[in-house]
Amino acid sequence: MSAELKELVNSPFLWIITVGGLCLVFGLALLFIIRSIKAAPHVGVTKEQVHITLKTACVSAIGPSIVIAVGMISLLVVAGAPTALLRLSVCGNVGYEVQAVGVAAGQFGADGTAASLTSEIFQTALFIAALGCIGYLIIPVLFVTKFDKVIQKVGGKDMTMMMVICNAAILGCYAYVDAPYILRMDNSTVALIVGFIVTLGVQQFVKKTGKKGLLQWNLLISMLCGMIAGAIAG
Amino acid sequence: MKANTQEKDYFNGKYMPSLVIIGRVILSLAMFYFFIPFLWTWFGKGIVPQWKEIAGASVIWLMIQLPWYISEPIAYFPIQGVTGMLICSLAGNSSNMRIPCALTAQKAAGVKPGTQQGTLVSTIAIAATCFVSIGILAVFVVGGQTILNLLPDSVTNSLSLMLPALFGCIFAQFMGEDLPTAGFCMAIGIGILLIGNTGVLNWIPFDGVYLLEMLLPIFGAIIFAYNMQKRRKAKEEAKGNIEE
Repeated sequence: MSAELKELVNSPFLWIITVGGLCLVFGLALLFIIRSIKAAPHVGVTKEQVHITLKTACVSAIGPSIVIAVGMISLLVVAGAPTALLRLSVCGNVGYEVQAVGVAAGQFGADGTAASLTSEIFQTALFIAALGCIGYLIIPVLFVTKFDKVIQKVGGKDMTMMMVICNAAILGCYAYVDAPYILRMDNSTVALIVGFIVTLGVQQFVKKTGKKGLLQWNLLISMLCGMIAGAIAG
Repeated sequence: MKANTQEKDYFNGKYMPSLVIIGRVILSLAMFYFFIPFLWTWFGKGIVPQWKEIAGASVIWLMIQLPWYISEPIAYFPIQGVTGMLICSLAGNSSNMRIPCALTAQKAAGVKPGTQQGTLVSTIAIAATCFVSIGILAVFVVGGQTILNLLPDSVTNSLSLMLPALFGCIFAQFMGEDLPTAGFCMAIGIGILLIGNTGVLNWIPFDGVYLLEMLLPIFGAIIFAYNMQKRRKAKEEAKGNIEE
C-alpha cells in the first residue's frame, strides 16, 4: 500500500466517522438495555436475573470477540484501522469485508491485496460495503413485526409450542453451523466435541451441586477447553 | 388475572412497540450513515468515483448478498425474536457471538426461549455483548499486532478453535430439551452437506446449495419438533379423556 493510500485509509476523518458509527450501535444497545431493565418487573424478571444476564453476556462475549478481533488483523492490512473497526462493529463480518475489497479490486483488474490497492478500489469497496448493508437493515425495518406475526400464528397461543419451536430453531441453526466442523475430522472437530462434552459436564455438575453460578461461565470454559484440546490434537 | 393481563399489555403494548420504533429509527439512520466514508473520499478527498466500476461491483455484490438478505432473517428470526433481529442486523456477528451469548444468558437466568422473560433476557444479553465486542475490537485495532506478537505461535494459531468449541457448546446446551429433534436436525445438517459436497446440487442458482445447507436443518427441525409436540399433546388429551 502506498504512503498516500495509507494516509487515506487511516485518516482522522474516517476515525470520526467510525466513532459515530459505533455510537449508533451503542445508542441502540443502551436504549434497549434501559427499556428492558425498566420492563423487567412487569414481565416477571427479577433484578438478580438481570444481573446474571448482564454478567453472563459480558463474560460469554469475551472469547468470540477475541476470535473476531484476531480475524480483523487481516482486514486492517487492506482497509485500514478505522474502516476495519467500523465494519466489524456493524453488520457484516471479516469474510464479508475482505470479499467486498476483492470484488471492488476485480473491477479494476487488481487482486484485492494490500499491494494492489488504490484509492479508487478503496472508494469502491466503501460504496459496495455500505450498499450491501442496506439489504441486511431494510428487511428488519420493514418486516420485523410481520415475522413475529408468522411465528405467533405457527405457535398459536400455546406457550409450550412456542418454546418447542424456538428450541428446534436453535438446534437446527447450530446443526447447520456444527456440521462442517464435524465433517472436517481435524483439530476443529476435536475442539467442537470437547466444547460439547464440557458443556454437558458443566450442566450435570450444576444439576447435582446446585451451583448455578457456573452456568454464567459455561460458554467461556467450554471455549477454552475446546481450544486447548484442539490445539493439543493439532 | 387482571394483573397478568396488565403485564401482558405492558410487554406487548409498551415495551415491544417502543423497541421496534427505536430499532427502526436507528437502523434507518445507519443505512445512510454507512455511505459517509464513500462520500468523504469523493467530496473531501477529491477522488472521483469510477461509476462504471462501482456499478459493476455493485451488481456482483448484490447478486452475492441477495439470497442471504432473505434466508438469514427467516432462519434466525425464531431464535432472535423481534428485538434480537433489530440489534443483530445492525451489530452483526449474530450466530458466532450474539445469539450464543443470549442463549447462555437465558440458561443462566433460568428463563426459556420463546417466552416474554426469555425475550427480555435475550435483548439485554445481545445489547450487552455490543459493548464487550466493540471494546475488545478497539483494543485490537490499537495494539492487536503487538498483542499477537507477544503471544506464542501455538496460542495465536489456536485462537480460532474457540469458534467450533462455542458452536459445540450451544448445541449441547439445548440438546437436552429435545433429543429426538437434536438427532434429526444434526442428521439433516450432515446429510445435506455430504450431498452438497458431491456437486450434484451445483445446478441450483444463486448459491442455492449453501442456502439449502442453512435452511434445511433449521426448518426440518422446526417441522419435526412441531409435529412431535402435536402428537404428544394429542396423546395427553386422549389420556385425559380416557381417565375421565
